[in-house]
Amino acid sequence: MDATFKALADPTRRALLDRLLGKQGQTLTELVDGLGMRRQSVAKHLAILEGAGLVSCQWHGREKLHYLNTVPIAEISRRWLDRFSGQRAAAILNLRDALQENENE
Amino acid sequence: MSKPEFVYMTVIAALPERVWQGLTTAEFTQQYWHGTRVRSDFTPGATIEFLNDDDSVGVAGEILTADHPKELSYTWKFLRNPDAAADPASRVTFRLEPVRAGTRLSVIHDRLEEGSATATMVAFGWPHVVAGLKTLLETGEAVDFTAPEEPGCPGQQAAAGA
Repeated sequence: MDATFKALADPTRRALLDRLLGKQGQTLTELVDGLGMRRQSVAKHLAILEGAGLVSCQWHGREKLHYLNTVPIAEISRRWLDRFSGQRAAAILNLRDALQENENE
Repeated sequence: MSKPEFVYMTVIAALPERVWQGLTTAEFTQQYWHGTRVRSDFTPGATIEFLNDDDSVGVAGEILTADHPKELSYTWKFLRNPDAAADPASRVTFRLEPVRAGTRLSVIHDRLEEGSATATMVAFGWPHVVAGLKTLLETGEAVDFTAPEEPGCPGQQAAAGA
């Protein structure tokens, strides 16, 4: 979670996420285009976003495509917004039962 | 191969076998997948359905790949929403890779029509579903709230000295 906040604490990186929100599956070249930044520094920012799990990627032939990965943001939401939802306690108990049942098989 | 449209990833502190179980058993899906129960025998060509509380089918599809516990893919059609139900079937693929910290789960959703109701619902839904699965499988971490690293609350000194 530290990595998520660190990665988000930079306007350029947030701008990159905005661009991916606008269009998923962009190459580095596409992302550099129109940002007014050197390719090298965009690559560096992207690496930080990837490291924090905010950007996911897939190779498509020879192209590395980048995607907005909002799972870490959903985790933040779960941590502070869903904590008291009571459903979690029930979920953990059910999970335990299911795992035990599975081990007994 | 069509260009993937959405790619979600997370690392879950659990073995691939357990993550697979989380994706393929109703006891698990009910806890994190908008309360729906998955139903399928997970063989290629078989149907897959996600059942709501009232047993109506929320999502339906057909199993394309079931390479346990590495890759699972099926076609995807939302039935609950009339706009999305009118969209052609899309496809979701789950990839499970063992990594040092557990399992890297990738969820790739493609064969979507740009701007369709299905695409919007997919973009909104997956992050929550994936984060929910992660929380569910990592029970200890999810409930353990650590104290703030920086002290600074009134009464802190007294409590620490006690």
